Amino acid sequence: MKRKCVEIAVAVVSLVALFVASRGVEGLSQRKHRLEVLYLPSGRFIEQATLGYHDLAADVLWFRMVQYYGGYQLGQNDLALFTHLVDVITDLDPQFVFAYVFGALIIAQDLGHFDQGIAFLEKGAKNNPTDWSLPFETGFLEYVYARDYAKALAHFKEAAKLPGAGPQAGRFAAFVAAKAGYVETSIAMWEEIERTSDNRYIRELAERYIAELKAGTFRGMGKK
Amino acid sequence: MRTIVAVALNTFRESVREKILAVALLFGVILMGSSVFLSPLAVGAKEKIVMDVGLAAISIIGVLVAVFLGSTLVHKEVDRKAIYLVLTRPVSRTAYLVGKLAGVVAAVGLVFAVMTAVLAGTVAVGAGAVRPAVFASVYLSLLETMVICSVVMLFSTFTTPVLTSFFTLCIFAAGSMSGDLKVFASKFGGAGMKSVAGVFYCLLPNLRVFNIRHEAVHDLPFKATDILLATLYAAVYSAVVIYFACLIFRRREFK
Repeated sequence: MKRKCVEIAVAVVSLVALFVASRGVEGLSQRKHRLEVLYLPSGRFIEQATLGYHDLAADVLWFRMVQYYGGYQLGQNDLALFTHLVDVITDLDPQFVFAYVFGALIIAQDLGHFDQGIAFLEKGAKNNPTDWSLPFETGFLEYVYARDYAKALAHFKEAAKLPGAGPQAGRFAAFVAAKAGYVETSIAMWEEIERTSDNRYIRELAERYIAELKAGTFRGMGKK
Repeated sequence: MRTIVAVALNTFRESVREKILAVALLFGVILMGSSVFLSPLAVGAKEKIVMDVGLAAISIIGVLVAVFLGSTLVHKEVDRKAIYLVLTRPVSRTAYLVGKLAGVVAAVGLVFAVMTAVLAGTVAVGAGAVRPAVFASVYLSLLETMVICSVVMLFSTFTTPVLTSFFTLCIFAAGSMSGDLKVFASKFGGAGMKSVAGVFYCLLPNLRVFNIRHEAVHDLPFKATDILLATLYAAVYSAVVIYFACLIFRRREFK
């Protein structure tokens, strides 16, 4: 009985020691985490080292990237290595479309590197020429950050033509066409949306915009 | 042929009873399940991650099961002297080895079937659908495992289980990079280096031909002829390796 009590006591003390030790090295592991991101090799090297499991490696780094961005949001770290992380992820999995879209948005929005964001989307479009979300996102960045309506229009139009394109690609193209001063193009696009959309609200919106464009009262209408 | 089937069935039964098979299967299922629990952290890449982890788990677990099951099969029978009972009957050493290979591949096939069902269930829970390319990818992983099993058989005829496992894992690593070996030699080496690299390139299993996991996950097109060619390659490679294994095994004396 006495021996059993001693064994239980030792087990409890061991567990407490384990918890204390884990807490003790917590700071060390966080420093190591920062170093791991800092010394992350190139995507080409990791691809060789993963013995054909490069998609899995891209997933692991994706989780890392989400944590890294979360750390930035909580004020624990900066985003200095974010671009490198996204670059490696997209090297390991060139078809990981969401990584390009998410990465480009953060690079343009949080880091303020608009050109780098666009470059990421171009890399994505090169690797995924039939994916509509990449030219759509490029158009979105051109519209929101660069205010280059003509370029945005070209990208939205390109996105709308690709297979599986969401209806928003056509809507954005029509909207931006008016902003860029291409009134006739915009009217034609809104008419197409009004004719093809199965959403009553969208059809009503298209009808209203067509009327405003024809009357010259469309808000923010630009000149060519 | 009947003797091969008999040995294969016996090996299959023996393999299924091995604890390592159940542990590996459990580990694989946990790995796949973990991808579901981690998916909220995936931010927009949930289905991709579930598929990636599932297909990689099937492939890795398959290779590990093949290595750890296969490396002990022959050695255990020699150790227990059970091999005397088999080889003193009208069972040739070639039939014995081919039967052993078939039995291990069948056991791994069972693991693959269970894990594929779990993967399909996991994807279905996330309201996704398993594409036919996923089944093609699993089939190619099984072929990859067959090639690895034949390499295990070769080493297990003349060395210990530990060394067999070690050598096979080295061959697996080298085989996964055999294409790079050739590229490296063509870019940086002289004529001699290129010849040596060319020989190693042909000798090592080119395991990249069995990898269409990326295509399966992203629904990219792949040719049916590629699957056929990979099947032929696996059959030829395994047959050649088993032939050499038989040559060694025939000369082996049991004391």
